[in-house]
Parts: sequence; structure tokens; C-alpha cells
Amino acid sequence: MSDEYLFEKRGPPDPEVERLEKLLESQRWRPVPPPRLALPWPRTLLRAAAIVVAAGGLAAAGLWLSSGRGGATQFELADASGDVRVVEGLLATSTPADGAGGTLRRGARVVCGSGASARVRVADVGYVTLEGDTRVRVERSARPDEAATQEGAFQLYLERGSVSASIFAAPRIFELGTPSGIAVDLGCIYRTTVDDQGHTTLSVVLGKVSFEADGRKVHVPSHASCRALPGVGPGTPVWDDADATYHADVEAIDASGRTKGAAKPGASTSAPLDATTSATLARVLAQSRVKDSLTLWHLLDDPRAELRGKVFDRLATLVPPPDDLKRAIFERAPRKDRGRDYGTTRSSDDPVGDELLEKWEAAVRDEW
Amino acid sequence: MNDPAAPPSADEESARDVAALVARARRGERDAFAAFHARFARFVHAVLLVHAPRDDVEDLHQEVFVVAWRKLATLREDERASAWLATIARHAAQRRRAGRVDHAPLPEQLEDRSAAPRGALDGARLVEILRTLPEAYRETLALRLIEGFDGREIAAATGLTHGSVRVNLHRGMQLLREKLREEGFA
Repeated sequence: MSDEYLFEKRGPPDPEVERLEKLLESQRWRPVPPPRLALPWPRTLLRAAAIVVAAGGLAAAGLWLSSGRGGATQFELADASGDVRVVEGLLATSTPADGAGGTLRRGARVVCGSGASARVRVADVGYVTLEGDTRVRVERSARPDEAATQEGAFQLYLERGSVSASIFAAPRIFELGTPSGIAVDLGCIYRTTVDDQGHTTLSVVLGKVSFEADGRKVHVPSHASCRALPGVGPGTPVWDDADATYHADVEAIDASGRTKGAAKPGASTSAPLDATTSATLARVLAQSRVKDSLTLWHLLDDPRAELRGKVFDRLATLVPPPDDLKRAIFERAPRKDRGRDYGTTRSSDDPVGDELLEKWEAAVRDEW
Repeated sequence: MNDPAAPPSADEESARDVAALVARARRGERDAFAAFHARFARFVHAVLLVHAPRDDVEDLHQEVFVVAWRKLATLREDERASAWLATIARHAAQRRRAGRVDHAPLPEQLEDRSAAPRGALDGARLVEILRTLPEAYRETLALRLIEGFDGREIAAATGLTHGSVRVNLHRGMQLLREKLREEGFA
């Protein structure tokens, strides 16, 4: 073995080192933009701030106790334009927000009237921008003096309307609840809309979001969208550049298979597909590009065995699976998410090792 | 003994560059933080790859830089930022491993893996084998074989001497070769 090549990366290559380098190429770092965060305070300012905080601590505590109000959070109304009100307290006191309103309390609602807009700062990790006709509730927050490193440290609930979230923090620190599921931030920018029936549309601009409800997790990457219904949860994600027919067809397939209160995640039915769904599915499969493996991969957890079999056939032509991963495995049981955010999957009761599924998923995800 | 009149070595210049970058990032210059991220992204990735569950590496990579950004004011030796980042990365990986419990039900009939064919060696399997090596070797080898650092770059990033890096690479490769033989991949 040539240690010269191993250390210097110069001279005649050591064949074994070269072989390992080639094998490991797939594991290399793939550049992504750095996280963008609020500016850290310079050290001298931190010291000064510590003194100020310490000096003001007693006074603040006194004020807090005398006011009889608690539930302070790290959410803050940073900007407001137009008819924006903060509704809080047992008596649902509504306060007009003039420009910027300060810290929001737990349970407080920010209500934007028609044509209004507001920006809520989420600690030092980002902002949520509210559009007109939108109502958002502060669900949970780390206390102002608490380090916010645990999962779900900051939670807002979108009751209706549209918000855009720009969050640059560790994954799962921020969550946006909706009537149809929870958008778990994995470090990104995304827009969410809830209509009057509670139907939710999530579109990811940058980064990725895990859309979750009742044990089902849908991984939505940037430039993709996902619709969700109350009691049903998130549907199948589709790339934003897919044509309108494709979007509509996928939505129709979801609607026909994931009805309210129906199959639990992981459940399977062998009932044949009806003619309309068969035709719709045939159109989707025929139009699917390699990158649409995003959609097909998620359709593999549909409760209908016949549908999963057909999806498997098409997906296998776009991204070939490992040899031992056969159609019958997916006909027997849906693919099921096991990972924290996305990633590792398993068949629900099949003795085929998880490794094969994970290997295929890695290949499929490379196309997204 | 160092000659104060001698020109600075490449390592010294690199350490000064890092210290200057950290100082600018600490003042809140976003460009400096972007450069800091670009400079150490591959290094942090290598450390995480050999310590964290594979499917958590991407998330943890983001988390390490978020923590670094927040705690930049507490870094005392600016020129040793990479060693500091490695510590953050190892702790993050350790926490993730500790908090990770899989509750997947066992299949009724367990596969006899000893009789199963091993299949070809690929990158993912090779990383798994790397993880079984002692820490000093696995990080050094990951930086060299995966991220493409040369010995001097590894020394600058880890704070080890060139001699130590050379020894780690040599012994690490010996151990890796033995592991590959044991696993039937030689």
C-alpha cells in the first residue's frame, strides 16, 4: 500500500484506496445553502444584556405577578398592516395592532382582516407572514427564558386563511397545525392555506416539510405541494411543475381511497378498483416522469392492493428496485413510514429486510 | 522553537483565516457565516456520517450549524473552530442515537441472515463498516476517503499533527482492510 497516495493524494494511486474512494463517492457531502438565522449578539453586548436582564428581572417578575397574566411566549407580532387584531384572554379581548404589537401570549389569536397582513416573529428562528382573512393561534412556545431546542418548541395553529413560514432552525423546532394535519418544519420556507372547510394546501418553496396526521407522514420537498383534508390527513405530494390534469388526477385518486374515518395507515384492502379510478390511475402512471417518483412512492402507501401493484410496476420502470424487492410485497401491505421525518420505510409484515426498501428509497429520493 | 521572523506556514495562515472568519461571523456578518459554513460543511458531514444514524445526517448537519451560530459568542479559541464544530456534531449524533427507539414489530419468521448472500459492497455498507472502527481512525478515514481531504487538510481541520494523521490513516486502513476481509468483501 502506498501511504504517500493515502496521505498526499499524489503519486501513483493505491488501487485499494482508489476503489474505496469510488465506492464512497455516493456518500459525499452535497452542498446546500447554509441555515439563515437571526444575528447573534456580540460578546460585549451579551454581557451588557445579561446585566440589564438581571437588573430588570425583579421588576419584570413583579409586574407579571401584579398583572395576574402568564403564558408569555417567544412569539412576537413584528409588523402589522391594515385591520390586524390580537385576541386574547378569557374575555377574548380584541386589541387593534398598530404597526407592531409586542409579545404574544399562549392562546392568543392574531386575526387579519380583508386586505391586511401581519408578520409574527418566531423567537430567533424565523417569521410567519399572515395574509388577509387569516386567523392564527399561538398554541405552544418555549418560555422567553427557555432555550428552545426540543422538538415542537414553537407551535402555531392556522385556523383559516394563508400563511407563509420562513424558518431556519433545527428540524422539528417549529410546527404549524392545521385542521387537516401538522406541517413539521425541517428547515425551510413554505406557504399553507386553510379554506373554510378546513381543507389545507401546503406548498414548499425551499427546504422540506413533513406533513403529518394520524401516523401518516408525507415528505414534501421544495417545489412540491400536498393537499390534506380534515379527518383524512395529508394526500399525495405532487411537483408544482406537473400539469393541472396530473394534479387533479392524483387528488381524485386520493379522494377515492382515503375517505374520512376509513382505513388506518398501514391497512390494506383487496377490493378491485372501480373503473373511474382505474382510468385515472392509468393516466397518472402514463404521464409520470422519473422525478414523479415522488408521487408514485407515496402512492405505495395507498390502502388498495391493486393500486399499489400497478404503481409498483410503473415506479420499477422509472427507478429499478433491488432484485429481491417484488411486486407481491407491496400488494400484501402498504409501504409504511417508520423514519422520524422521512427516510427509512418498511413493509408492515413482510419478512423482506428493511435494507432492500431503504436501498430503493435512497435511489428513488435521488431523483427528487 | 518558532522563529518570529520566519514567514507563517500554510497551517498558520489557515488558522488565521479561520479566526478572522469566526470574528466576522460573530459580529453578525452573514457573508462570513456563509463562508464559515462552506469551509466546514464537508468536515462536519464526515464527522456525522461516522457517528449518527445515516438517515439523520442531513438534519443533524443543519442542526450543528444552527447551534454553532447561536453559540459563536462562547467560542474561546477562534482558530480551533473545527474542533469545536466536531464536538457539537458528536454530541448531536450521540443525543440522536440515544433518543432513537424503533418499535417495528418483529416478523413472525425471522430471516436467517447468516445464510443470506452478502451482495456487493456499496458506499452505504462501507460507511457502516467504517463506523465500527475506533473514533480517531473512522473520522480521519471518512475525511480522506469520503470527503477527499488530503493529510494536511485533515491535520488543519482536526488539530492533529501531520504525523498523527499519517499514523491514523495508515492504521485505520489496516483495520478497515481486516474488517472488509472478515465481512467477505476483500
